[in-house]
Amino acid sequence: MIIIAIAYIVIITYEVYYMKRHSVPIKPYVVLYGFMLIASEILYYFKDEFQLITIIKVLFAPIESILLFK
Amino acid sequence: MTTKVVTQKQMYKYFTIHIITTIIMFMIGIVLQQSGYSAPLGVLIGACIGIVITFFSIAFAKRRPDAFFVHYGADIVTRWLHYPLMAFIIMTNFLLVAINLWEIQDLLLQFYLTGTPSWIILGLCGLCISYMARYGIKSMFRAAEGMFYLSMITFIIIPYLVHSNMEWFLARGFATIASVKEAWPTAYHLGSIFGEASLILYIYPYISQASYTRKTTIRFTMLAALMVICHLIPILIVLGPDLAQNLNYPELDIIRLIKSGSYLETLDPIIIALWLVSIFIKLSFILFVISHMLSRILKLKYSKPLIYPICAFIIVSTICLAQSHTQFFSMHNGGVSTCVYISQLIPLLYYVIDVMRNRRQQMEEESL
Repeated sequence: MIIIAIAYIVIITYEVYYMKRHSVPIKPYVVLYGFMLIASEILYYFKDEFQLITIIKVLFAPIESILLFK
Repeated sequence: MTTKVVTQKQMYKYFTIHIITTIIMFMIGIVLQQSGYSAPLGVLIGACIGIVITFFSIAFAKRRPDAFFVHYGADIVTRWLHYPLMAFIIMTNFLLVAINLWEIQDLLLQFYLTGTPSWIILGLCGLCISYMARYGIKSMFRAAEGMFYLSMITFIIIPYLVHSNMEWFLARGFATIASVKEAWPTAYHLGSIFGEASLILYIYPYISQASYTRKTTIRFTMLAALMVICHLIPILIVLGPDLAQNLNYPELDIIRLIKSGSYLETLDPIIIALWLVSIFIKLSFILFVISHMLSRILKLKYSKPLIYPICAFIIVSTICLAQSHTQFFSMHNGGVSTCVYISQLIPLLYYVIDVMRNRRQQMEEESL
């Protein structure tokens, strides 16, 4: 989790520096970065209890089994 | 107005690489498991499904060739429906990149980087992908143009080099065992990969000579299908369906059977390097499309600053995607293709609504 946070901080610092140099408004991007950081941390924190594969299986496997005549 | 930076030739080369790399690198074992001798027939049916899906996307894109779908979609189905649908397409593309990244790290961990933490491999791959995506759409298509002939040479040379190991009596199976019923699961799964060419819709304003897009689509799909079949048939004849379906990467196993000299026997690292570059080009394109869509939905002027954070998010998603190899491979029968199909067919919904609205407007005008 600490590594993810460090990676995000490095990326955000780089992007903010880039946007300042190109006079791009920073505010909307920083909000999005914050959201992504929190989402990543949550995803990683619950990685043992929650796998993306399980969600896909629950949502789409029944449709697929019908279409594949299983 | 958007600059037309992608030529038809570049598109042809890019999408050929896009389709071939995923199927030959990661899907052959699964395809043989599902269909055995019927797999080549399944590839052909899958290619036809892919062409149909792409044609719908092109037909829809042609109605507004200079505008981006993400922008004008809201005028067709209202904002309340448009944004959730776009979010679904973005999430599916996230999933596609995550799945391919997982497969890359699994391949590298099994053969070359044994014992390396997976997050380091994912981080390095992610860095390469996002670096290319950041350079814009032109860089990916140019890279594909450069890589095309090299990739094609490796893809053509492998079936030729293993011809001495072929057990020709196994070839009878193509005539006696193959059936459409057996081929259908392969067709269904590969159709979703061939249908990835429908991503053309999201970059349509960048394409020059857009009226030739359909012809190009047929050409690259046919070439890709031919190349896949040229790999499937030697694998089936050299290894046989029973052995091939139990291997994760049968393509690498037939490379090891090459007996044309000591140099060619160690061909696999070169081929892996070329495949990795090809798949990086593919993933960077999908990453570019994601950042492009996200920036336009959120009304942000630039998509470049989004690429690195999106890639970091995808890497974390990849780590959380599956815990084991078995769990990951069970996913291929667990709805991923259906999810991809739904995201590819969403533009069809827009198309139908748009046509109906136009007809209604015309009828109203005529009645006045």
